[in-house]
Amino acid sequence: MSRLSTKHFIGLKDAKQSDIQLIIDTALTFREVLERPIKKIPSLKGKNIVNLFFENSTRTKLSFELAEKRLSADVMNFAASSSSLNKGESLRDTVQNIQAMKIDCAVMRHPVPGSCLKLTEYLDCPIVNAGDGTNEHPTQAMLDITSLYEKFGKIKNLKVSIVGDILHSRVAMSNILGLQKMGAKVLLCAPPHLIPKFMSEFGVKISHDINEALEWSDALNILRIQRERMGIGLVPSVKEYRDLFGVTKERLQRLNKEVVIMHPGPINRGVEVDTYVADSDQSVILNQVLNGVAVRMSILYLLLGVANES
Amino acid sequence: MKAKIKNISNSKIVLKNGHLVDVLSGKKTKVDLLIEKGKIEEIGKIGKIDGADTIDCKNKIITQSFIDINSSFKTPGINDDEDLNSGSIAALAGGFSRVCLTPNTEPVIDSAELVDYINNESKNLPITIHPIGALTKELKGQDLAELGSMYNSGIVALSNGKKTIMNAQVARYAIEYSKMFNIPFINHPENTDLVNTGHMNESVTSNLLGIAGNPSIAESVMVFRDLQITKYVDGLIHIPTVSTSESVKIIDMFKNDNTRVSCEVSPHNLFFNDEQLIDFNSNLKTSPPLRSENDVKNLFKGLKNGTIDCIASNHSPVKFDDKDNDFYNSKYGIIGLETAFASSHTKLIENGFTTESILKFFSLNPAKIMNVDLSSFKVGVDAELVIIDPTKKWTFSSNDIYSKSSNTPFVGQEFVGKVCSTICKSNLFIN
Repeated sequence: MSRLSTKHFIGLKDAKQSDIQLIIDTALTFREVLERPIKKIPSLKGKNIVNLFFENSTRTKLSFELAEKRLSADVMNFAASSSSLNKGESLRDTVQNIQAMKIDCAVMRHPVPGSCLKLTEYLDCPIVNAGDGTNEHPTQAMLDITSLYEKFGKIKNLKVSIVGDILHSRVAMSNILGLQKMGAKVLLCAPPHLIPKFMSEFGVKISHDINEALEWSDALNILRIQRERMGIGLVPSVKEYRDLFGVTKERLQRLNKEVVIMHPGPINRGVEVDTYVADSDQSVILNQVLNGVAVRMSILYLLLGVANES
Repeated sequence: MKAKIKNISNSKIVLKNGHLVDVLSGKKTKVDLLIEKGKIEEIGKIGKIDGADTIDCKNKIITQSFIDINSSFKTPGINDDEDLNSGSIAALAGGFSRVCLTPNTEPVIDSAELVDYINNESKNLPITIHPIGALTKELKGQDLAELGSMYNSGIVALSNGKKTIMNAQVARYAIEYSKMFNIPFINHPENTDLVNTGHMNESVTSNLLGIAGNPSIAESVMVFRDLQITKYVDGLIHIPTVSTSESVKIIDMFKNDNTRVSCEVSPHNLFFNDEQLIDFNSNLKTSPPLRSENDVKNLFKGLKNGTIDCIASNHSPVKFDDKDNDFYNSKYGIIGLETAFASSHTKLIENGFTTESILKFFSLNPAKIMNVDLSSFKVGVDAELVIIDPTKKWTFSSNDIYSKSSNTPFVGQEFVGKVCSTICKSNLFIN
């Protein structure tokens, strides 16, 4: 069995193409396991994994927890309320206890970019980034890429659009980096002020026209437009956003091809994407959820599995 | 304490074979200097003198010691980061005999009594402290502080620390009112609305790291506003810590239009660019942020053509625990006194400057901005000088830090040019 070339899984910025492919291949093997009547395998029996969640997360946390349990690891959950961070508790304070407990791996979600890299200074064990602010969310990107690979059988030369609030997204950058490493072409579609300035220097196409994006794409990764950003000058209204950027039935029907629809969730139905579209055959949204578990099993296994014992 | 300060009020010291560069006259001569009881006793060819210590200054430059116009010693109130004594020694190590202290303390230096406190506490320090008074009470940006009373107590300038006065009307009142005292108005050039949640320069690198960007226009918009007001009311302004190409361009425009403006740049904004934040090194987190390589180039141009008048350390001590955190929660600031000259000299030499042309950025020009008298080299005056080895190659290490805090990205950096000794107030500091 192969292993990852890195000790941690912090981001796709420095990830090798071969590692990305290995994660995909291993994840697809685990997909088969997840289809079995008994879905548990003993690969990480006796390993202790702590999930450090410094920020609210439902999906990612559940997905990691399930992946860990499917691999028979012992799981500890640490959920710091955002208030304890506000009290001035530093990252070092919080993880010092955990270090002392001799854990084998830490999975961390944190609101601040770079905090996973910082964590490597404090902990000796492998660290998996479950999203560090708007820096990276590499397991989400890997599950998106795996879902595309599963659907198309390749990533090279695929045309993938990322639509929505790129500026505040933890998913966009990891997706761009990962997709480009695997040879895909990427387009960003959003109102200009929701795409960071200088983004074109990353070799992505930029469009402010959803119809143009649909026309160009093989697949669309639609990001949630956060309702809390509505009406504070970023998006004038839900209605206007849907009018300009919503992926609607009408828009899809105008195309003479089938575009694959992805969404990391949670979905604002009727805003960035219509229910009809999200629940259609073109959509792989629920597949993404299952692949999320498989990808996280894959990464944990490749970092901690028997192959790494020597 | 590892400081190497010697009291020389009862000693004789001969500085032998140095190149004396007087920044006031621009003259460069090869001479010996005799310093006795802290004063210059003789200049010329000096033979052997009984009981005198000799410092070999061959291939070294002797010149007026430096004046820093933007340092924070965090005293009173935050003296676990720095205090007047530790800051003074850091200054001496960097060749500075005079330091202008910003009022961002607790309490804020916003009254004559607090200026008097700083002056009293500074009397016995090995360097001279020039306090800068707060522009607004508690730096809140609303009500003017007692500018006149503080002026009478000896402040050299008015500043709002790192807290920008966002209210343009308050800025106008402050610039107009301070005309009575003919000391510069200093406002941290950052439009906080445009800074938004930014923690580093908005750039390709900030995108890559997902760090919220602080755009260059946050600075230049504020520089433009303050210069417009200054011109309108015929005030006197000094713009601190200029970091962007646009700011340099705007300042140049107003200088050509006879606005009374001076400005400074920080050494780390010359030495580093924003790409070096790629590892989230919080020791590179500073305000203003490190900018793009193109901005850095234009800062050098600004120094070359005289748009930028001087280099100021922007010495901002932050204790270890306040830096050792995730990027957003670690505090802003870099200590700069120990490294200001060596780091700037290194980069300026690379960019075609001569050592002689660099000296004015550290002594002559800051003295002019703060209206501090710089003395010529003549017999009878107090010795206030620095000895520099302009070709010395060395690596800055944590042993070279005298500040209480060690928040510097310069550890491990190679420099060309070193401050060997500083002499002032009858003290000799040897590096």
